[in-house]
Amino acid sequence: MDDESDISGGSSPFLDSPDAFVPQPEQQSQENNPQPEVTAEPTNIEEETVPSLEPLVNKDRQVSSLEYELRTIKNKFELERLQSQRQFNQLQTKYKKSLEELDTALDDAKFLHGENYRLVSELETIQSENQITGNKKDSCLQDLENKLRERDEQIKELNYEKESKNSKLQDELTNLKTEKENVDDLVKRYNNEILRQANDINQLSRTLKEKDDELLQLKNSKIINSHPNYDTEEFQELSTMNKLFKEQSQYCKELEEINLKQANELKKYRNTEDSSSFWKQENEKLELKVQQLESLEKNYEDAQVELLGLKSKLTEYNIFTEELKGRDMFHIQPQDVINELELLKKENLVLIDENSKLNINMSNMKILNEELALERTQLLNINKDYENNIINLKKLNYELEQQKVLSFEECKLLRKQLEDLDNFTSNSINDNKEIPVRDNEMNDLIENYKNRTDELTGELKKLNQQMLESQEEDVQFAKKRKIKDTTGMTYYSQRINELQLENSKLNRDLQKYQNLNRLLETKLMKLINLKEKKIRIVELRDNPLAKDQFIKKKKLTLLQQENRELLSQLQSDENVQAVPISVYESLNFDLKQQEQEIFKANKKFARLKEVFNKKSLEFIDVVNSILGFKLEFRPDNKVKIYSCYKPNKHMVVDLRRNTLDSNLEIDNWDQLLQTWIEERDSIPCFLATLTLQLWEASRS
Amino acid sequence: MSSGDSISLKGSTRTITEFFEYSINSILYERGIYPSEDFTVVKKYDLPLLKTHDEELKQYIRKILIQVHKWILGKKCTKLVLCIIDKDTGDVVERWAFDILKMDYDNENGDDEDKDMASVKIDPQETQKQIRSLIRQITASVTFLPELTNEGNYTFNVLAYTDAYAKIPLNWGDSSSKEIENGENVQFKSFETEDYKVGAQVSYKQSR
Repeated sequence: MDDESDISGGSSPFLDSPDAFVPQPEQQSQENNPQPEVTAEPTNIEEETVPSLEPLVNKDRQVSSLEYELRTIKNKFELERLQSQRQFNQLQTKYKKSLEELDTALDDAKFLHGENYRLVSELETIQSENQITGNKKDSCLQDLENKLRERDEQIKELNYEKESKNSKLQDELTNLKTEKENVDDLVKRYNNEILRQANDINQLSRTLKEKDDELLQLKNSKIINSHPNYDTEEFQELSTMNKLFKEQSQYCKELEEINLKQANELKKYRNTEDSSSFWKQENEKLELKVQQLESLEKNYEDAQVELLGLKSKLTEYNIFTEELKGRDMFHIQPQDVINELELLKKENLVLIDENSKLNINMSNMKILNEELALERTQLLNINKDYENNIINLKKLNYELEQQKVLSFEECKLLRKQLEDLDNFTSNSINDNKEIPVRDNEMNDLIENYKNRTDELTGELKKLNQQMLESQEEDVQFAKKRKIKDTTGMTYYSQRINELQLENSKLNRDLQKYQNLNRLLETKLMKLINLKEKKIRIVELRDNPLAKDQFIKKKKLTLLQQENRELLSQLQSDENVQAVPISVYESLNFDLKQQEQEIFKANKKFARLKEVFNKKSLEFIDVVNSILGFKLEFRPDNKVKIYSCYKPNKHMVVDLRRNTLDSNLEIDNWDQLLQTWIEERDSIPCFLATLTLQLWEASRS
Repeated sequence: MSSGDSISLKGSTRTITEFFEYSINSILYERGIYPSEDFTVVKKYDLPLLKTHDEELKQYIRKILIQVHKWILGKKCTKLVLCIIDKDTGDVVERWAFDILKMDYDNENGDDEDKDMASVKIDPQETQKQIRSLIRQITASVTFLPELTNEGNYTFNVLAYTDAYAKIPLNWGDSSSKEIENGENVQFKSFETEDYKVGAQVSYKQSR
């Protein structure tokens, strides 16, 4: 700041310029001093030309007047000097005031800068703290992720184990299923065999009954006859019958044995079935266990998480107790700990409040900083304006100075002219001879005047140049100062302020657009939902597909029911000779389906028949229209023939008896028959002749 | 809506329903869903078209079309879909979709262009011509559609896309869209009545 003050003091053009200006009038006055010598020249000439008392008196008068003049000039000069001094003083005071104002402004700027710096440092510390906490958080997250990964791996392993177990069980299940299928096939086969054998047994029992009946009859006949009188043939028959009975009984025994064997096999298969159902149950149990295991796994994970939380709490508690130990080694009661905890909680709350307050303060400070930055920029602008004003005032001052000098010069010249005029008027009356001398004098005077004016204009030019140079220096100095300012922290602070303002604006914009985005997203979702709801796809409940599906489903349920009941029957009683009702139902359903199929086939057949009949009729019509006869095939092997020229009458051809009768009422019927059929053996020609005759008859 | 408009709407709806009847019959015949002897030739749109005389099928189509007619009159139906389904697998092998687009000429908020179009009356003969052309396309599509190999083992179902707030009778129920995944689509021509524009398209499985 000292440097700055030096710079500002040195750079100020007010200190240099008045000094530069002050000597100028003196210089000019010094330069003007020779003028009285110039003006004194004519007096010397007078003295040389008039050597008397009167000239002496004149001289004295002149001297006294000159002295008076000199005094007045001196007085005027003093007055002017005093005035200029006063003006200079005033300007200096103004300059000092402006300097003071500038200093205060600079101090303010410095203060603001310091404040800003402090805030920036605070921000940095907060940011660094934030970064540290972020790092901590990241590390925690990393740890948690690692743990999670480990858990995932464990879960994966468990899943793999579960899958392998499942696949094993499924393999076993498929094996059992295939076994079951085989068993079912065998059961079916055995059932069929049993049915066949049962039929055989029934047949045999029926024959047995018949034989019993026969025996009974024989017995009855024996009783009736009372005297048995067997023939050898009858004996033979009886013996054969006995043999047959024996064979049949043997066969029955064999069948019973086979039946027992099959029953044993069935038992075995049932046992296998039981084992398969047992395996199934086991599988289900295992699946349940796996599910339980999964739930347990979840529980385990939760417990692990909880454990971790508790561990962290425990470590915190340990740290806390260690701290307490540091303070009080011997008397740590749980109550103390709780009290301490409560106190710490309260403190924590207070600290949270303070933190929030500080945050609020921070935000306020930020706002204040922004405002100060704005004010600072305004002050800088004002300062710039002020400097410009000072420069303008200096220019004005300089112009006034110049005008003052010029007016002094003018005054001098005018006085001189007045004196010359006085001299001229006093001397013109006395001496006409002196006219040329006076002319010379006048010429000299004019020349002097010209020289003087030239000199003055030269000086003015010089002064202008000096002025311009000094202005350029000022401008350069000001530029340097500006550059120094911009290179300094002020520029950066200003830039930071601007950036902060921009940042806050951008944040606000971002918030606004995020809200807008959220709003639009919700609207879009609503619209999508609305669109989804708008259309409904419907179908007739009673459609062909549904019917087909219904039939299939019904068949499936019936078959399942049948299967279930057959299995239960087989398990419950081995020697049962009946079938469950579901078998009947399923067969009935199949029958119905078959009926439907038959109905469809019939329908198809009828339609085909219709088409055929239609086509046949078309064909017959075509034939009739071409040949002129309509044929009607009767079921009793007769064919009726109608002529198109007499449709109400007809001929009948009996194909069985080979006859031809007619009710056509044609006169030469027998002749025509004789000629064309019997003699020439041509029915078409006979029919053609008949047609011709009928046509002629119809025409007539 | 004036009485003239109402008559026009009824006429348009009848035309559309009639078209649906003949197109459904044609598709069922061409794709062999029902045996050919169940169909008889009738002359419609100056074309010999096939129409079923199987009472059950006739009844089913009639039931659908009566309801669809009502929905179209009430501007509640936007699409009619005929799905051909494999009985064994339950897969949709072909999906014939008919889009029904309502021409909102009488919309007061509509553009000037629409209002200009409102004045354009569509000649019924032109509509008939367009329908003829569309039915010819449907008939000809048999040439490029994949063969339905499992003959006699296909059934069909008709789906109607209605407004969510449309009145649905009790004998109608909700259904899935029965879309064919990664199916090939073929867009057919469309026809216009004074009130509606009907477009058709078929989607089918690429390889069977």
